[in-house]
Amino acid sequence: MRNDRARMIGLALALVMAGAWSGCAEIQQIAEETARQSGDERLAHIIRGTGTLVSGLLPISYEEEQSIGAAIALQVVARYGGVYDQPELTRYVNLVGRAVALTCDRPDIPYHFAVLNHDSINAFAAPAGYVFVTRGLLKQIRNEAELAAVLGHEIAHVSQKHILDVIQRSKRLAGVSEAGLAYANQNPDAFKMVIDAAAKKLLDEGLDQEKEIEADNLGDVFAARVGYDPTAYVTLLNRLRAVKGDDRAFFKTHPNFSNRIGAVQEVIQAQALKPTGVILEDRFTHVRGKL
Amino acid sequence: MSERGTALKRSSVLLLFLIGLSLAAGVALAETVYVQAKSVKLRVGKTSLDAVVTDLKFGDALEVLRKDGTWLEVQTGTGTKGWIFAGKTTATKPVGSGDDDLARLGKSVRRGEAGNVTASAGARGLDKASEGYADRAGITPRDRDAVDRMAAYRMGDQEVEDFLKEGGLGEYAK
Repeated sequence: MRNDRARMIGLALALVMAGAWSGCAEIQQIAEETARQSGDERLAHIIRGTGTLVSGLLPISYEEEQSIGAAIALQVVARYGGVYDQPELTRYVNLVGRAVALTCDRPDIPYHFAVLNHDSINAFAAPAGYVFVTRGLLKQIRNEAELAAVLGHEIAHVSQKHILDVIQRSKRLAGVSEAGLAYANQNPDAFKMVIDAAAKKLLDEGLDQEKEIEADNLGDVFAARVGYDPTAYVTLLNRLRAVKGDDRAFFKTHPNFSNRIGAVQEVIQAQALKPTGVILEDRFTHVRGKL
Repeated sequence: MSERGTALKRSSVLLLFLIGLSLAAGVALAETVYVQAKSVKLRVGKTSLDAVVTDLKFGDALEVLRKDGTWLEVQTGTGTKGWIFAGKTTATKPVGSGDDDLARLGKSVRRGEAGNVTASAGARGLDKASEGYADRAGITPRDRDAVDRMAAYRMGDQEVEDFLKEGGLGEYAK
């Protein structure tokens, strides 16, 4: 009797796994329904739970990423003074950002750029291509090549799905594996828990240091591909190091500048990125007057 | 005869082996690159002023025939030859938007769990899921509107192309 039950559980789990891997959620439902009809509510519950667990481990689709990205973007805008709405500046940042995004490692999704009305020196990216740069950071930038590398850094967070990795982890840590992201409409409290955890990581704690270093390196490569001088980013990081010094609050969310500068210089050398690209100081200076 | 014949046979086998080896080396030397940009023009010459042969799309595989500075002469899968700006190519096959089989499967399974209620991605930034989040998180109408407008901000490919041209960027590099 015990063996029969074990076999049945094994068969049901195999069905659920097969269902997941073959893309047929219906198989899971059939297995669950069969168990329920046979009067075994507990087994039906196990099947449902296993299917949810499997789905929780599967990657997030682009459609789901759009919902997550918009929700995180709302938090960024709310906490950083709203969007600074100056048409010429918005257009310019979008042009530079989209030029860089065209040759990034994920150019086939739309990217959106906005300036945050905040004096702190920072930039953020949310999934699905939402990229923000603060007025404070723009005031530190001297030319278009520096801006291109900053936006390239944020684009790299999106192209490498760094924030989605955090979501996958926080979803498990928050104990909401029960809430597949498509539950958002049915279980908005669970969705809010997932987004709040991701926003906290992004805005208060910072992404893992290796993700920041990877974004620095890739961002500079993206900017160089378009034709910007890759050494411009090193100049900017040096300037920020001089301004921010040992700002502990800033280093809570980013690796220290010396490490970042060293890593970017290594990439420029290793990938033989030519320092012959353009800087475009005049075009930037003209728009910077709109800040 | 037998000794000479054997030697001849050995030489023939060696010759065939060497020919095979050189052919294999030839294949190994042929370099393949992939289109790394959303779209890119294949041109008859190695400047942005040269006529366009055809438009290539993200992920297209190209065989490299020749390199000259920042330009590559390539051949497409259908045999069309032309020049492409090297900055818009990559040596490794790009992954793209990343909805691979597993992501599609994840969405399908989760959709099943949620009783076919999904977050629909509309033209505007906020869908039902993110609107619901805004309600619960107490996001102001001003900030909702800002994200909506950010997502809806439209810019034509030609506008970006003109911007590149004006700055001497991409294939317009001097």
